[in-house]
Amino acid sequence: MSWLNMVWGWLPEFFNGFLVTLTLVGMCLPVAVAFGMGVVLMRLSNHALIWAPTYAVIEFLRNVPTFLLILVVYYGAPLLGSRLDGIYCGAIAIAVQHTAYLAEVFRGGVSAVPRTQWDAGRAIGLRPAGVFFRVVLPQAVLKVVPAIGNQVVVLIKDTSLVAGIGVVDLTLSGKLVMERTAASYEVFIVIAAFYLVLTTLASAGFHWLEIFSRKRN
Amino acid sequence: MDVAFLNINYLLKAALVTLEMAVATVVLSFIVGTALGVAAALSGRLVRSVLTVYVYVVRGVPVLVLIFIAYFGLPRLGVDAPNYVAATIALVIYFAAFVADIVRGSILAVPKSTVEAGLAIGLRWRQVLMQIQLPLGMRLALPPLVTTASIAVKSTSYASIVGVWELTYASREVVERTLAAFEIFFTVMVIYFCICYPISLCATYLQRRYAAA
Repeated sequence: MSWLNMVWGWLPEFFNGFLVTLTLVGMCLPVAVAFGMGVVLMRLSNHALIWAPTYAVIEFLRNVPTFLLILVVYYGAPLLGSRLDGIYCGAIAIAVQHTAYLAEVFRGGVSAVPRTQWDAGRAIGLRPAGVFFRVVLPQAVLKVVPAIGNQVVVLIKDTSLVAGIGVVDLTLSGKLVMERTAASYEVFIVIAAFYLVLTTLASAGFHWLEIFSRKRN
Repeated sequence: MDVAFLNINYLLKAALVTLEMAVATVVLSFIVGTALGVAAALSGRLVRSVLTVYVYVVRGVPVLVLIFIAYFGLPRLGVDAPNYVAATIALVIYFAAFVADIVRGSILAVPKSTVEAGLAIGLRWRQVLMQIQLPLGMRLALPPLVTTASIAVKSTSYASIVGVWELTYASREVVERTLAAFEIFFTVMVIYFCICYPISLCATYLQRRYAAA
């Protein structure tokens, strides 16, 4: 297992890539969750002028490849006069697409909240937006915790696509190490293990949240 | 949009490669995944735990990493496969796991009483399997399987990162030549959307239909 020794020597390299991947997840996830919650309100609006375009944009974003969105931002930003770093281009694209994914997840949760909750919220004098954010949404989120967990795992895996625009994240750090050593695909087995640890921790966290939320109900 | 019209033939030719890869991925992963899923649902603990580990690993690792492993690993195993074959193999390994998991879960979701009823009216074990368990299970599996197919189509774009000439790679070429990033990428997104959206609609339809039944 000589390649394993070699990989050991390159661990700092992998670790830097791992930090970039973590940074990407840290940038995308809060934005996607926050915007997803706002977008679902627009999606469920009664005005056709609000819900119809929201619906169209969500469906469009859900049905195009993530990598293509990353390329649009990456090649498009300079045309708009911005010299955005590759990592931010990737983060914007991934955050936008996962906003659409999460909005659909939240929508499923909101439709599972009984209609009477809306009426009750109105009856105690809350405005419609207040009912949504303070009564309905908290219950809706608790109902879809497992689905959110799945989506977070997808997000973590999607961050690997920034390797395609030359951002040295975990995946690309593997390729760089490979090019400088005699090792080959073995490097990516180590990379896969890194991702596995990250996604396992995320799923375990959401599993714990699910149990916690069930206890509260 | 002139630049998009000028390059539409080139892009459509690349879209065909994307479609070929998508069809190969979906067909092969459905065959392999269904076989694995049925085996895991019906057989003992060993097969089941092997499949559990396989699904766990594949679920937690990006497709791109699997594509890199196949792309760099196949030559080391003495297989001189072109890059699109390596990428397709990785995609099949990835999606077969999801298919196997869905099929296994759906077969196990067929109520036990239905199976017992079949045995009680004197059907053989094989008949119960072929005429009751599998058809009912596959019906439950169909909506999530169709969703998986749409994800598979989108995932073929990852192959462009190892240099496979398909729709995403071709669009990148055109953009680097013409600098018309928005026009070209938007056109290409519409092409992907035209492939994926009908599949998504189909999944929603199936879900409603079988949920009502």
